[in-house]
Amino acid sequence: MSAAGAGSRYFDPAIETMPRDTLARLQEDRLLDTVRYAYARSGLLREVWGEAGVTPDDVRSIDDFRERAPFIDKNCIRAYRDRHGDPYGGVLCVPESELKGIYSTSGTTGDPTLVPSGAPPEPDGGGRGLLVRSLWEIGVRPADHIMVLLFTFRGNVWPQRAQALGATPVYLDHSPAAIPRFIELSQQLHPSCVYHLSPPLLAAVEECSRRLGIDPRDLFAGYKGVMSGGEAVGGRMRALLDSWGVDLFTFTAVGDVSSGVDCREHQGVHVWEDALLLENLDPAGTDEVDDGGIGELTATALENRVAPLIRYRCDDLARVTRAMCGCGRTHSRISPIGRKGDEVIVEGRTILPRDLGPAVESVPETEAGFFQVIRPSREMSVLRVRVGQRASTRTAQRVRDDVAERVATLLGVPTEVEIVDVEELLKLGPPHKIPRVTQR
Amino acid sequence: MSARPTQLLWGISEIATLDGPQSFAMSFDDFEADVASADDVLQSLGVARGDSVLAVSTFAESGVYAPVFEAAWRRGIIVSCAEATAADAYRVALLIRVLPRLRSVVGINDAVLDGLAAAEQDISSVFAGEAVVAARPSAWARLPHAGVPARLWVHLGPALGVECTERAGAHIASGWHIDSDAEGILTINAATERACGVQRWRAEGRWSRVAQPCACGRTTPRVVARDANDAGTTTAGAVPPG
Repeated sequence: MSAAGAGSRYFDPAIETMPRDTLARLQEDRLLDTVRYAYARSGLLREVWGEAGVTPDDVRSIDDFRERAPFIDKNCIRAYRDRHGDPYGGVLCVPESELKGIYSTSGTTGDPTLVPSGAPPEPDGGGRGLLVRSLWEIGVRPADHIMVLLFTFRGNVWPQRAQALGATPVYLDHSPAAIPRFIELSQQLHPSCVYHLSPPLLAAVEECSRRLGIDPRDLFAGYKGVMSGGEAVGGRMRALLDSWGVDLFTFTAVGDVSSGVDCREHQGVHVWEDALLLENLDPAGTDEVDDGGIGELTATALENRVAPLIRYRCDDLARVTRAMCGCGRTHSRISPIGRKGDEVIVEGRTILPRDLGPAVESVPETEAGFFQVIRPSREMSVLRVRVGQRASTRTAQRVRDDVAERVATLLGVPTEVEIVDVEELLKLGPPHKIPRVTQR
Repeated sequence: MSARPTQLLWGISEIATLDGPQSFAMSFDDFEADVASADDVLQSLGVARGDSVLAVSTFAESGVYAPVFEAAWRRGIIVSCAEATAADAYRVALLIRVLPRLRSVVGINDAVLDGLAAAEQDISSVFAGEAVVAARPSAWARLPHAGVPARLWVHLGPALGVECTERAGAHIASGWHIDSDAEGILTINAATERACGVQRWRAEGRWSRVAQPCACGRTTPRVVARDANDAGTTTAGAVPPG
């Protein structure tokens, strides 16, 4: 339970509101320890640092680290895996015999990569339950119920998380098919929070409520928060959730290193910097961008002893601010923009998938906002988009022309649209998102 | 840091029954009892310290599978997970290839076999290793056709069961009382006091109880899947119903 008691806004006030200079000293201690630890054990790290001519002796401060430490990324881990036949991509730092679990990533951008794990009561890799801080901020308290709609491949640390809070988890599948049960159990148990309703599930809640004649405002009246992640909730759905009285909490991963959730101020996602060193770098270079500027998230795990990633370029573009939040927390906040690898350049204009959202959502048949950009190469003369359509009284050709015209008008680039059944699109990805960019 | 005094339950998950999905509440004491039963299941599969086990399940089945994971961790066994869906069949195949000392794959169902077939994966190749495959009834009936010997893995409502090396019916985990009728309907209720109270469930499918003692020495109740036997597709078909 909270170190500060049920009346406190913070689960762990000493850490969550730690002055930034104190936090920086804590990070430096953990960073130097982690670098030595990982260098002695990680084949990938020794290889990459060896090529750069750097050793842990060259890193005596955070500044040294920023100046000298080489980067790694997912491609580099996959390449090491393939080159050495090492399923962990050279990042495993303990003997396999010490592992408790071997989980895997969602595989949205390619083969899933393995996520080795240590002791089972290890929520969020830090051992202290980082997500628990956010659940507490949302308002989950002892004796509450938390609805958890998830999948199995990342392992299940919810028994430990719920126990840390004194709450009871209610387990359901992360599937549109589970939404009728979600509605039924919400009405019976009056949970305080749900983790998590991704955009496909929010669309299912909208459809199912309409079909069953349930007012979503009643359904969510007892909820203190609805958590959503995987990908951004579109503007139309946000407006709908507002009209339902839902307090939406966005969570996002920081690469495969950590994750964060926004607080009740909704001014960006808090990441917990006692567990990671966060950098926001020029996407085309190595310089840190100014506070509030768009950069590529780069993360270093500070507490993971099983498979710590060191200076991992996440491919995620985001704004980062270190300014203290209105909630009183001092840890950085990020506002995700999209994946760097998802950018396309059409007639010289840089476009990210999220830029299309408002146009796609403005057409009734495609208002759910499920689409993907077809990107055979980064630079194209025509923007090609595949859009999921629900039942319509109009022909697919008219819907297609309508979407194409609105996207072209919004973005000012020639656009071709392919219409498919929305269910076909949802099958292409993991349960909580679709690949927003595809080669064909 | 323990919050148990105020946490009402270990959790609420979902179980499949003849009457549709039902909520299944577990206390911490229930969970501990199920961990002990799951330990016997792992022993039966021959999984030991340093081995890994791949569980193919859904998140809603956490009440059945979390005790298996906990029992595995306490034995020093590595746990890995994939979804029991056609879409995640590729992950099942991937994990079977890369997991170290994989001793057993449990919970394989029809959907995963369908997913492998749709991806034009050769099922016999996917399961060609030394890992013991424990499959749910419909998949268990299909696998021998692909040349894969599988043990029967059952969820009778909340009660887990698996065939031992004798492969003569699934031993049902201790802690559950089972009744059967002439139609092959099994009714399950807790043998001891549990958070779910005096609830009774009817298991999905048609079953026959096996009356004879098992050659493995276990005395827990055993069942064979009657539908699958009727199709003449299982090794357990030789076992006379009790």
